[in-house]
Amino acid sequence: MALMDNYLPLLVFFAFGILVPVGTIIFIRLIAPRGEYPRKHIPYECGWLPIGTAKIRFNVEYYTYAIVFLIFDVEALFLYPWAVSYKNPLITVPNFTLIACIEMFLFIVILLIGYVYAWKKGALEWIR
Amino acid sequence: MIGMVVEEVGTVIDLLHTYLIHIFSQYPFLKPLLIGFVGACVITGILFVAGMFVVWLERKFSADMQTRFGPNRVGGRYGQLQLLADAIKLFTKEDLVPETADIWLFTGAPIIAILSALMMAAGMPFGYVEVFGKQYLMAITNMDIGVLYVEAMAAISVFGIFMAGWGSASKYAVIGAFRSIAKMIGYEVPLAITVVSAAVMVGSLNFVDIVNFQTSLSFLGLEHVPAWLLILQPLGFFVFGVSLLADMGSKPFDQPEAEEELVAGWGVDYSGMRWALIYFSEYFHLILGACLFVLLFLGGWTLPFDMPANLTLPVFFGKVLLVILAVLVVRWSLPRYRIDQVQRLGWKILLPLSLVNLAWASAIGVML
Amino acid sequence: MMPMDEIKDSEMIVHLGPQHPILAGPFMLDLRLEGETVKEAEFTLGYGHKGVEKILEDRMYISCIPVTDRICYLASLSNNEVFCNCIEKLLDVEVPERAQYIRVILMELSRIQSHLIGLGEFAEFIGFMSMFMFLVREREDILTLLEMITGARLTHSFVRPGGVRLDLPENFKEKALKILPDFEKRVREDQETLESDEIYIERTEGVGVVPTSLAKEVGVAGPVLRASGVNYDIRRVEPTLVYKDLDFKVITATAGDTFARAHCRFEEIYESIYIIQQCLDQIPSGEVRAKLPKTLKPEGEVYCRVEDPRGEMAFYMIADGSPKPYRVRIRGPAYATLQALPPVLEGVYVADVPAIIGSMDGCTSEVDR
Repeated sequence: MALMDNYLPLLVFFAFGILVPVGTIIFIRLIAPRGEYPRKHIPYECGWLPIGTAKIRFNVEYYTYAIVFLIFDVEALFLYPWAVSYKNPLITVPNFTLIACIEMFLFIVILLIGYVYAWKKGALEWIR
Repeated sequence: MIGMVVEEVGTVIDLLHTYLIHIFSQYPFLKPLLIGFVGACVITGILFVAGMFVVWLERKFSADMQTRFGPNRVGGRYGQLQLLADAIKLFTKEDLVPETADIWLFTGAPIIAILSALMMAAGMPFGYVEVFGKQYLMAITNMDIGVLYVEAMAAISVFGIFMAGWGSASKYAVIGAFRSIAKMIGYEVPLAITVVSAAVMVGSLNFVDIVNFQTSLSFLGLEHVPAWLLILQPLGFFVFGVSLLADMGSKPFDQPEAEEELVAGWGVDYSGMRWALIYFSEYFHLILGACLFVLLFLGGWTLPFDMPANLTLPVFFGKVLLVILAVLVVRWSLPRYRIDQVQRLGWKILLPLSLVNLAWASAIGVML
Repeated sequence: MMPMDEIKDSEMIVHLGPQHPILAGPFMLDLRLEGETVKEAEFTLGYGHKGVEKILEDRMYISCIPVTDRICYLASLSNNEVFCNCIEKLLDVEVPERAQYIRVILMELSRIQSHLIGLGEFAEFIGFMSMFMFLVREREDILTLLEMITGARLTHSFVRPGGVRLDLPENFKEKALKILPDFEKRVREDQETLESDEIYIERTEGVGVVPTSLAKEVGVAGPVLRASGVNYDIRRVEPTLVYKDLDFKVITATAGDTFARAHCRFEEIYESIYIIQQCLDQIPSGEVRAKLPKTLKPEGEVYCRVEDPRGEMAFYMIADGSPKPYRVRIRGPAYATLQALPPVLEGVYVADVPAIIGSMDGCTSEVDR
């Protein structure tokens, strides 16, 4: 019941969020003027004809960051359930808050070691 | 006489109420659908109007900072109707799609951008309204995972920007698209960890709980000390503020569209209404980011003393306006970071700080 | 630039220009990019060619002066000055001392306003929009002073062979001495704002270093040269007018990066203010224009140069005794300065390209003439 109360409106919002821009685009296609001049459709390149394509195998110089990012983002996700449950009064395990805190500190310390290792290894540098 | 009319109206509303309750009990899915529909209409309308207001505000405000006039012709001395004129112009512009563009990505980008903003708005409460002695929470939904949901929806917008850049297949756009990803990698982790810290201190991811927590606390015999997380975790406030600026693409972090080198970055080939949609979604993110900031760190709609429920909405939007003004001051008084410096800032300064803040928040959270 | 088929599939060629927000005048910069890094840069000039040298051949000497204004509107007074200097040398005319002081004042004022625009653009190129507006606001004061003297704000056409067109207005000295200290205070404030900004320092220090050897090799000029540690200023090396009687420092820096170049420009503004104040104190009374025949008919060859806001501005003139110059060759500073761009741009980030171009302060209008 509560589930439906909270999540059905999101469905409506989702539909709205798609309909508003799509409707706008359809609307302007109907009313906007159209001129036949093929050069208008050349991608912008400072008033000059582009040399070669833009869809290349782009050199992602920050890929080491991206790898570290994956680890840390997942870590941040693990923190969410912990954050809401570590002082939840419904859990009746004795000393649960303390245990949860210590566990989380261990988890973060392990990650910190990884972080320092990545930093020392030069993963947190922009590779040129 | 007037009392009678009020009474009559009250009776009608009561009847309507009873009828609606009856209908809703028979078809339980109708109520959330109705709330969703009405809410979507209202919020879309408000967002567009507020977006226009903020664009106008930024133009006037930045002009003031730079000893210029800003818009001062259309609709009066203060250029009040400038944005309306701009909108009419944008609506009647030709709909250009570059020949190299991937039409689905190119069209999809504004949709994702607007969608992300609207879905963000759906997760946030804005205050209370009291009608006939009943208090209603001004929110579309009141989820227990509200904070996580809003953050997730905010993060979606980066897909929109990447699609715009890669889809339009102009070289500047492609560089801008990859920069937007790089920027996201730089600030997303500190942002997530500071949000967790806020949740840790409160022990909940529900916005209403977080706001209620921040109402007030007694401290050293002082009553009515605001328990805003701004005061309880200043470090988190700083990290969250900087990350949120990056999320909004505000000035020191507007590398994806850096005008000086990439002309307009990922948006270089967008024009007319397609461009306006993305542009507006950026301002929606500014407004909603300010809302998120107020909810998490500035005590939401509460003040540190009791006040009538109908005052909550003005208080909330007043705070949001203040945050927006602060963002504008930052935006127009700083140069732009280079993209590798953003990464360094995010990973070597903000991330350690956010972890320190997490430890601090959980320690305080256990004690409170 | 490499031919297309030799380029790696992770590289792309991007045109920066001719129509780009950072370029005040058009020129094309082709960048070969790998990711965010510039691998190679090549630039093409000539989009703004006006044919000034040819136009000069077809005009009477006196009507050439407005044309020299248009070589670069930010340095129009230096261009007037060097052109008239050529004629004076050929005719062997002594310029009255008061006129010499007025010319120095004008040149230093135009140096200040040119540097302010250059610095403002530079600040804008690293994303600091407000600083551009602030510096342009300060520039208004200088334009007011120039307007008091010459009656124009950009293209002055004020210098004449043998002197200047008019004497200083009556209350100029009081007005200038009132405006300048206040102006200097505000520019110092702006400099403080800019140079104390962490982001600005990170964006500029160590970026776009022009080593001394490269600077000498390609012949960069003006503040760019002096920021690379070469103590060279035409005002000192080959003083024209009354520069030898005036006390001023030649501002140099050793780093040669964008920060140093901007810093040199700021310091030169203060030096110029100091020069103007000295001039106003020392200026004698007397004529402002030497007696010259109605139609000028110089004869011979001459090479003259002055220190323009961007460096060494030189005219080489051949006159054959007719009322029009036979040939005028202009050697501007910006052309040589821009030659340092391709080697400096190699290996920098894309975001640094505007910063480096801005710090070079190359005037395309003057380059293409």
